[in-house]
Amino acid sequence: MSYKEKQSLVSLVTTIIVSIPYLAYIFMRYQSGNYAAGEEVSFWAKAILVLIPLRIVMEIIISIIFSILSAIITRENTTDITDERDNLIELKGMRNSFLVFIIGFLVALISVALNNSVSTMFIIIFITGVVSELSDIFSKLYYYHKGV
Amino acid sequence: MSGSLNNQMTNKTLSNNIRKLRFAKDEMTQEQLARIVGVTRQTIVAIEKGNYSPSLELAFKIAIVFELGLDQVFSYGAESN
Repeated sequence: MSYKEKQSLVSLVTTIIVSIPYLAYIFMRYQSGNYAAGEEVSFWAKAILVLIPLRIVMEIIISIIFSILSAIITRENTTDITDERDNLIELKGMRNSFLVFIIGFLVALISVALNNSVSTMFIIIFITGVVSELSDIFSKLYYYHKGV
Repeated sequence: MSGSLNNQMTNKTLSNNIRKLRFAKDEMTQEQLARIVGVTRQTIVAIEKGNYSPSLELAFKIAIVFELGLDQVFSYGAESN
């Protein structure tokens, strides 16, 4: 398995241990509280704003730990170069991720158009964010494995 | 006419002799070739297997390493090694 494939697996681990539990935590908090219309929007906005830096910080920490462990285990320089194939796979992963997010965003808008609550829209956007993250990771793993 | 020509073109794939040429050039390893042309070993593996079509720039770099023309390293539609 190449270094880049391992990096994708690190992103997968980060998503599993950060985004998914955070999503579950936010859902539980939402269900346990009664929010007025204005507070509801504020609650979801804060939840999303907290997730973004949390995800970035955790990704950095886990990547550093992974690089150290990889260097110790393989005894190789882990600062692997990124070449044209890596860039192409990165772009294709991002394209698939955006496609998933756009579909989710449209579903969220349709839910509001059908008179569902604002919370439903935010829940859909939240889930879409995690699914698009996963689609990016799995796309990269697929292209690294099967070719591009 | 153009439809059949189009089919002929789309059914073909890019193949190469890199594996053969590496062995002919003092059994050069994939890692060595990768370092010279500035890509990862995995990219050389993918090119040799036909899982990745290199950019024109990379194809030229590989051909220069073997001191051959582009068409002597890569071929369009021929069987890969």
